[in-house]
Amino acid sequence: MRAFERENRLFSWGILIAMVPFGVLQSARLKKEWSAPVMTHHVFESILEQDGAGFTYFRRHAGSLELRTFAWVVGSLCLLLLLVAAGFAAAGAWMIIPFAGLEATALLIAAAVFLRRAGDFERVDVRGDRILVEVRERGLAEQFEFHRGWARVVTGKAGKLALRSHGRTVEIGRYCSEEGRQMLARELHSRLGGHRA
Amino acid sequence: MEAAHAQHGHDDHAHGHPTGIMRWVKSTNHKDIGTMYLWFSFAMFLVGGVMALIIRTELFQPGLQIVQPDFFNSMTTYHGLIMVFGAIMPAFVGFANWLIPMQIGAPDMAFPRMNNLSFWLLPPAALLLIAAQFMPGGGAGVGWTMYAPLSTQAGPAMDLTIFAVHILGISSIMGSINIITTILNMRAPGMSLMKMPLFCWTWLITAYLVVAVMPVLAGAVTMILTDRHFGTHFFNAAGGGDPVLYQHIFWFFGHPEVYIIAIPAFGVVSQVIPAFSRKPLFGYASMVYATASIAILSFMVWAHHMYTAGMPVEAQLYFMYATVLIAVPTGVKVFNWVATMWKGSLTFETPMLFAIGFLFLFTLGGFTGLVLSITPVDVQLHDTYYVVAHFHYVMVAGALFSAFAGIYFWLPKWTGKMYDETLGKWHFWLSLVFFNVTFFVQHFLGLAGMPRRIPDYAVQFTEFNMISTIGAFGFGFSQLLFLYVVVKCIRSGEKAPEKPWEGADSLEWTHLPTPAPWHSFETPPVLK
Amino acid sequence: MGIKGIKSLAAAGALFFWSAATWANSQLNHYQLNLQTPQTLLGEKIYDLHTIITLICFIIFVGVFGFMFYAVFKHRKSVGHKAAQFHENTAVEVAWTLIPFVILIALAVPATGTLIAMRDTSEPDITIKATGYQWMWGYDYLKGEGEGISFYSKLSTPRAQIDGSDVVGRKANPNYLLETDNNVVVPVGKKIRVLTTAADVIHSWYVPALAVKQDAIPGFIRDTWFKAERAGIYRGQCAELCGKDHGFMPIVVEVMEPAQYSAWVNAQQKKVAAAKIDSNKTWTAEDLKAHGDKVYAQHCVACHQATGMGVPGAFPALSGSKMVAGPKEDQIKLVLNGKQGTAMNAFKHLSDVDLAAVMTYTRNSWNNKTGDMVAPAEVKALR
Repeated sequence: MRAFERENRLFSWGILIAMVPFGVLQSARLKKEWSAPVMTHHVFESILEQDGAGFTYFRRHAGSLELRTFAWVVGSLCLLLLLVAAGFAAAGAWMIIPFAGLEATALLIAAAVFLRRAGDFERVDVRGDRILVEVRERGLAEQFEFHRGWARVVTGKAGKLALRSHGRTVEIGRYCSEEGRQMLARELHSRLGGHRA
Repeated sequence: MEAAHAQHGHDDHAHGHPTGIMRWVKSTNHKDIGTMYLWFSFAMFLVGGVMALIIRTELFQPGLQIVQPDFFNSMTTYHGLIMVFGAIMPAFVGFANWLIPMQIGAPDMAFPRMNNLSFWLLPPAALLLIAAQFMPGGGAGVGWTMYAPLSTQAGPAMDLTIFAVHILGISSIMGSINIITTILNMRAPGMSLMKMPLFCWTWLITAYLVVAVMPVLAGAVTMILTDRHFGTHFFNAAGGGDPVLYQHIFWFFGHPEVYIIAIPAFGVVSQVIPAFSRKPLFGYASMVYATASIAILSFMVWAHHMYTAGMPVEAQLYFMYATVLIAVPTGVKVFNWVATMWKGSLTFETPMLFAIGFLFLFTLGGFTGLVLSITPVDVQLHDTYYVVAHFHYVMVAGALFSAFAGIYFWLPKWTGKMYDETLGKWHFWLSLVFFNVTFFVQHFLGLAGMPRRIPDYAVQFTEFNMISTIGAFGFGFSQLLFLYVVVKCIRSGEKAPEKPWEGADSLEWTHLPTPAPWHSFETPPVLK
Repeated sequence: MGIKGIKSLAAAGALFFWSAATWANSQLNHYQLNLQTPQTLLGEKIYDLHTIITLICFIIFVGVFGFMFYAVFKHRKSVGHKAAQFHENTAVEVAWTLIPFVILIALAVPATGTLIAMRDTSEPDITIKATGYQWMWGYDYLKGEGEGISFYSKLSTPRAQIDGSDVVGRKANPNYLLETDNNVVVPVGKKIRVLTTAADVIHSWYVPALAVKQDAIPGFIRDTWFKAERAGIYRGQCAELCGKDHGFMPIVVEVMEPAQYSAWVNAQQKKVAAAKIDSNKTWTAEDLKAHGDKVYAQHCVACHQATGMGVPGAFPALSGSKMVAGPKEDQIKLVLNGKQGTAMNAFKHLSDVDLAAVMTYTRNSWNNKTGDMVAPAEVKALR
């Protein structure tokens, strides 16, 4: 009976340990790739305007997430989890609490990720000699100003697009589709190029 | 710029995506992941099916012929676990992955990388379940319900099973959070919730259920684990615990689990029936409300699985009334489907045949469910073959037939090729006949008093058991025909027309070419 | 395939029901289609309840699918039917929500009455405790005529019939797997309350003809009752998965006329008296070993096997075991208290003599030759 128990433990730990490399591999991969944006996971809405005075490219998040709906769903789920876990804990089965807690955390993280991205936008405004680029990504807003005479449109790896001037580079057209980005590039190219000539 | 354009012209959709095996290992594409889910679930379906055939072979006649009782118990256990967690649930997650982004006009799932991870958790979990068979003492013969204290005294296979359940649970939770976020946040402009195809609605509700009950299952199996190894006494009466508490916890998860399987099946059928009736779904709003009420009610009826475990008569009465109530929204759904067909312009391609088969047999399973909901009758039938017959009508003729309907329905959209209609129909009729041969007679066995999960039985049960075994083999081999039809379609099917089903009206049919492109909607579709 | 397919389905269905009906008429016993004939009034109520519900379901089923099949035949494209485009109808939808509701209430009313009657275990004539063990039942007559009677009840079907070495015997045995060495005996027309509990895992006490099924939960006591209307022998099985021999622990209830029952009680009580005298005697190692053989066959053999070799991986061998051949105290403690997390259960419920005997037996059988004995007093001291 003793030997039986040892085998029992050995197998449990063996399996756990055997799964570690898998976990490490997957998480290393995730960490490496997490920073690179996957182009397709948001619904964006873009507006391209031009008039006599200038040209504006504006692209913003167009998720269908209504804050109220999402809060309702996540809130009711967390409440339900809490009630269920508390109910069973009262009956003596407290071990549901940690799992319910973990899951509520996962839900809230998912919510946070989306809320943080909800206000993301990108605006490229060409007016007179000035090019103003405004970017808000994952909640961080940045502003860049270029002189129209000096700025260039450059193409990077995987069709990435950027404005460059005096050693400063700002990526534009981040969440555009392939075609959208090419259109934007052509549009800007002609304006900048025209001036330069 | 010209150069850049040319460079991106030829690999438009691949963006340097890895090919070969790495395409699948690293894929974050909802279609690839959906495909993997579906193939995985089919593989598990075959594994679980072989286990079922071992069970049926042993039960062909009285006496112990081919297996010993311990192994038999292990087969019933892992047949259940593998079919529920490895075959049916992943199959519908596969459908969700393929279809939800296309049906709501989104480019992909909300969290593509998490999507990859939630799939790749499944194979190790399946390996654990299979490895459990080779532990000293064999697999844990405790039933898929893993009732304590039987599960606390089982061999080391039980630990593997518990870990597998944990991993499967994590996978389902990640899949569900992904689905909820996708549906809520990634709908194309104009695609309001009440305009979504019913399939999306059913998955939104299902995902909600998954998130709500998975921690309960995780907690339950963890408590078994600590009872086994760390000296806790959650379910050990000698230490002040209560074995029945485990049953309450398990079924609080287990009953919604039944609907986690059934509700997406309702969704698939709600897409297929209107398409082949050439008529909009009858009572869309009431379908949504009925599904939601079924989901809510599913949290309130768990103890109807435990009428014989002993509880106050008041509790039994409450659970009886609440359970009976589920028949109302379920009935509404059935009536709506029939009304959708009413005065339509019906054709009977394979998907429609499976949908009608679903409707007919699922309703039969629903009626035996109603019989079982009546406590005094259930006390007679509980843990007999009547229950086995009942839930196979719901799980096989319900969920599985609906999955078949879905596969045949969307195969042209997925592959751009048509399946062989004649062989598809053969698959349907063979499945239908053999399914009933297998399971209809089990009602009689249960009524006559044959308990479930026994490797040997009294001689008066012989004849029906023989019939059932013959049916099971027929049903099993019919599924190889299904595999052949699918493989033939993928390898050498005729090119599918742009719109193979004239009545299909959700976005994947109306706004996307056939076969569906690598990215579904890079720019949101324009909706009326 | 269309029409042809449906015709063949209809033909197959007709064939199926026809053959089912034929079986029902010809071979009632072997192709039994319904619940067993109830032997209690409550059982009859349940039987009727089941019939009514099944009938209502059948009528609704025929109604709903009558509509469906009408549509399947008349509203098909191949007969040129054009699709209507309606997709809602409030009146109809309200009706088919409310009507089932009413039907369900109509069903719940008789069910409620029956359920309350089922659970009323008050004022029994005889109270019997049924204890589930892996894998047999133990019965203690606690109150009423026969008080004090106590016995184990184990499957009596020969092993050879089960493992297939005696197929002829199995075929000739109408009670294969449904027979025990000691039947539960009760008088006809008396209210029998059955308390269920278990020593190891959950079992379930199920006798279909008496319309009782009650789980036996270790550490807890549940109850149920029956009042048999006719004398006879009624057979059932354990209904809750309880491990290896779950399929091999039947329940046989023998319902006797009151006079016969009294005679049975007398005979049993004489046996009990005889056993009592037994327990006062001083035991020799030989006597203990001989008695231990019987105890082993009753309680231990299912797991540890007649050879003492156990089942590798599942149940450890006793032959050559360090635990069995080691210090007596450890073995006594293990057998008394069991081992949590394994299939080795506590055997406190056995008497000092039985335990001393079985341990003496295991210490001196197979490859174990300790040559010593465990005295009943030693067991008592460690309880």
